[in-house]
Amino acid sequence: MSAQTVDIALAGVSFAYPDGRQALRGITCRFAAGRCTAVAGPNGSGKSTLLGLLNGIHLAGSGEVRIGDLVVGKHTLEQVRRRVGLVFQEPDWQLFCPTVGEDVAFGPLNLGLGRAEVAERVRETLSVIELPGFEDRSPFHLSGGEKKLASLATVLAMRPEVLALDEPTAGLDPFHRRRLIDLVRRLAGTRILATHDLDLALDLADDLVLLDEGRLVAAGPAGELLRDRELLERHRLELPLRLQGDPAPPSPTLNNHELH
Amino acid sequence: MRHDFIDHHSRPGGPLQRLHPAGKVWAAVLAVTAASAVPAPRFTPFWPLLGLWLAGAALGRVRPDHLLGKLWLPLGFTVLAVLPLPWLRPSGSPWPGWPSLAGWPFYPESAWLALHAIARAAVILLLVILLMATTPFGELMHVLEQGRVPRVFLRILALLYRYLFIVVDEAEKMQLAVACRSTGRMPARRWRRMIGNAVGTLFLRSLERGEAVYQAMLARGFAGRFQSLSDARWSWREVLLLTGTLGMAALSGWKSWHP
Repeated sequence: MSAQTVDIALAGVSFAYPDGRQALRGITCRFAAGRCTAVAGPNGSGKSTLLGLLNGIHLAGSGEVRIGDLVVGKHTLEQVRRRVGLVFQEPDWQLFCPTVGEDVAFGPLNLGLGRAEVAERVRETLSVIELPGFEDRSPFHLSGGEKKLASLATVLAMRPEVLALDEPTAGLDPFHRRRLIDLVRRLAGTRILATHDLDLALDLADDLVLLDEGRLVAAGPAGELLRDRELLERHRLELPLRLQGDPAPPSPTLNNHELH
Repeated sequence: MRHDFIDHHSRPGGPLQRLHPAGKVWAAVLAVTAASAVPAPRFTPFWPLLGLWLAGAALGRVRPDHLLGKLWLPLGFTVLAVLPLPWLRPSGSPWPGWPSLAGWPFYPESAWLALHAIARAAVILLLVILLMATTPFGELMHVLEQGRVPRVFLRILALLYRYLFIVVDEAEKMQLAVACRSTGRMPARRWRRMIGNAVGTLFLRSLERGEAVYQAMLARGFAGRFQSLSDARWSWREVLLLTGTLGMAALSGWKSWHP
């Protein structure tokens, strides 16, 4: 659905939250146009913050974020958000309207599109994500997997050049996980996934950016980095399950009295 | 997020719901103005406006008791505000048969004024509740924005509206979490402490989630303007609604000045 593609470049980007927590430190990397890049790292490594910087939800404390030739800043937010679509990890954050149709229409209406075009985009997007006829359903009554797909639809309807997905498979059952992976694979444009699901990264990503404690620790082809056991374990990750071979022996079972 | 307890009736296809939101807002403004103009202590001018409200509820296929159920909380504030009026506002001669309040005599004329204020507030609230219940909130905001209501005010209103749902949603989740780990009656002292902590946590969690929802809105290009998907157009139905409302407002006005 995203026809155009665009390069993203971060140069020496640092970001701290208002409470002083330094989330990113001097990140320099590039997300190549038309490719799928996974941003991996353990919990708290700064993956979600980095995605927020791409859409202008957070503004870099120092350094520069470029979407093509556009520098992300206070005065370019409107253009940035037209080009970069961000899907949050929690569907409950993303879905805030009374019906799925209104939620999907929210972004296109903000783009200033006419009603007929918005209605067409809603219908088409819901059909692409295989939720046709969900326009009048309440997001509150959807299953977890459907909510996740509907969240994706709310952003796809804006036809962004860059699609940034935060933990897209978190909490999904195998069926919905597979459905989402197939869908993201079919999408054109630049795709960026923040995840610690390394099997997902292995399935989808061309490139990998590895973060730990807000620092960039590795960047390169996903196929190579995801096979580097030592690198992954050093940063509290592990090889994708598919590459692990025999599973490790299970840890001894804890008895109830050991818990007290 | 749940959205089914304020504008619960805004979607089903009753004739009132199908009308252009601007038509409904102008009709409500007319009726509310008429109610506000009723001089005290006259009560009969409220009847045409109540008739209008009943007709609106029927057209919107909303049960009046559903709307009345939403009236008590906001009306309670008015009642509290005017309750001391008969003792605190000297008007006419005091009535010795009624007990005084800390030495302040009771004035029956002021009691009528207080009752009139309550009746006026009830009529206005019923009209506003009917409008809110039968018009999706987003469309209401869109019409008010087009009517040049200050945008800051609308944004605060919209955020309060969403925040309300978030608080309720979070409260339900926390209630579930408590229920599934409760195995019996909790000692009163522990219960009070738990409630105190829970209320604090509830507002912190709601604040955090409210911020996340707002960020999700910004991420999809929200720049403070309210957009509407409604394809309702002005037609003879809106003209009929406004004419009917004008008629009832005029009847109310006539009854106000011709006892």
